[in-house]
Amino acid sequence: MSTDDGIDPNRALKPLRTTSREFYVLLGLFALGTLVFLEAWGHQLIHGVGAVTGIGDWGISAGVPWGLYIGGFVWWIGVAHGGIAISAAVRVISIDRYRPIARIAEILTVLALGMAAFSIVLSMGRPDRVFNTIYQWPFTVHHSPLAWDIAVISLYLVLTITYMTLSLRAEIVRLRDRLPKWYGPLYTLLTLGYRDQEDEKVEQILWWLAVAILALVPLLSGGVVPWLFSLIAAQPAWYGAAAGAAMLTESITSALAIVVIVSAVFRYAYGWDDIITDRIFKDLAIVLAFLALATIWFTMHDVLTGYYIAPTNIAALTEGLLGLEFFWLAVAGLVVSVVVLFAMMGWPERFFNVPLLVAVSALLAVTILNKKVMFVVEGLMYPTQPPLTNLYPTGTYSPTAVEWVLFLGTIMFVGLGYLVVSKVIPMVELETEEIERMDDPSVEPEIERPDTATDASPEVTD
Amino acid sequence: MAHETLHIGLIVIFGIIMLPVYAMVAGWLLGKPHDYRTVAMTFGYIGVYVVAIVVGLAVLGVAISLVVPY
Repeated sequence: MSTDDGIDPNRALKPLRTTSREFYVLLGLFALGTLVFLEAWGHQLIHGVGAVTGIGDWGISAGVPWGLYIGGFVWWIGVAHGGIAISAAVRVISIDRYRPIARIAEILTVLALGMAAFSIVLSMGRPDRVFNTIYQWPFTVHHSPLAWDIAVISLYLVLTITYMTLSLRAEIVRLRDRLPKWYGPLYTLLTLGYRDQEDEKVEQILWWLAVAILALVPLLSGGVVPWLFSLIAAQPAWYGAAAGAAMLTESITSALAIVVIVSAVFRYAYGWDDIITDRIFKDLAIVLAFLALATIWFTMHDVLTGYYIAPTNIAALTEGLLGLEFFWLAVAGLVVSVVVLFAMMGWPERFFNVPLLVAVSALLAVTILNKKVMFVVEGLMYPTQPPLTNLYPTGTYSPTAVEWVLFLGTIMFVGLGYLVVSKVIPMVELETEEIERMDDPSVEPEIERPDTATDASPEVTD
Repeated sequence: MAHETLHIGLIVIFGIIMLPVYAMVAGWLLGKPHDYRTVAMTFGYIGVYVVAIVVGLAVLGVAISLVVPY
């Protein structure tokens, strides 16, 4: 239980020990989805990005060169931040209350960063040249914001995986007998050279890693990613000093929203109501409420400064933005979310429940995706600054079925990733004392509560 | 800007973005308890993951080049 006694390891290890019928059904669906994804990607690779997507060049194509894939890239980068930020905050400011969702959140970071990088590959006209981004890096880093992105995303990914590896070492050594035997070589690799004496130093290393990761959040999602756009002054919709702050706020909003959804899925699947408690969700709802409000605040700044006596090109862009149906959908999504979340905060006994919070989180995640894609596309639709002035007509963009399949495929891969990882490592971080209690014969194992066992279907013990 | 020796990208990456990483490494090396074996192991993991990313991208590029007709 997630009480003063800590978490019951037997229940926390449930995903590793039992597999429900629903798990296999989901795995089968994701396998089918992977086949559809591969077919669509193969189609795109063989025929070319320009031929099978709505992405087109400026000029005679009157298109936009970046679309859903790059919008998806920005979205995934944002999602990646919530995960590790929650986990790092648990370690740095010792808010142990959120430990039950820390590992789930860490894994989200790794999977989301992978999908962000993959979104770039999907958008490349010559993806076979993806390695050029690495070996040309010493030359491109001097002036290319894209090279900065590659550097910082790689750095963030490496630090996150190292953080996860180190935090798993002691846990895996102590749980080894209870973990699936067929992952033995992987566990051996993860715990290579382990000594009991290293625990204290590893904790210290993890603390510093957490500090570095937290400091990198505003430098990545509020730094190099918005700079990828805002430093290109030829696109007035991207230009602006507040772009970083606005993008960071949106990013953390979408990240927390996805953490809520994934945590709720695990709680439902494994009956972890007393591990991932309502209190955790209530706290996340409060943070989400203020983040969504801040997103509205930044949107208001954008619109008002662009609508009043703005420079001609900015005024034209704002007018264009206000004419987009997707913009008003985003505003509606944000307003509805804020109203519901503040109602949850003000009258929790009446309005708070986890399914509703999950629904609002999904609405927020989709709304932020919509904003990110609009941001990318609108910035390219109106090339109005010198040297592009009057050179190109206003572009148009509409994602094709191939783009939707490939983008939705990245979401599916994250789901598939969770299915796989949940069978390899504990999804809830366990402390040494909690694991040692498992071996203590004086502690009786907790009996499964029937009211929380939602995965009541026949289970196969691994 | 081509004539400049110290380009802005180097300042952004190595002068700003990497600051938390420098602080982290200093914390590992100077902070107590002093256990350089564990610090070396951490650098080992970092090195392995960096190599894995670089090699992974190279393999991905080659694999895609086998599929695409150009």
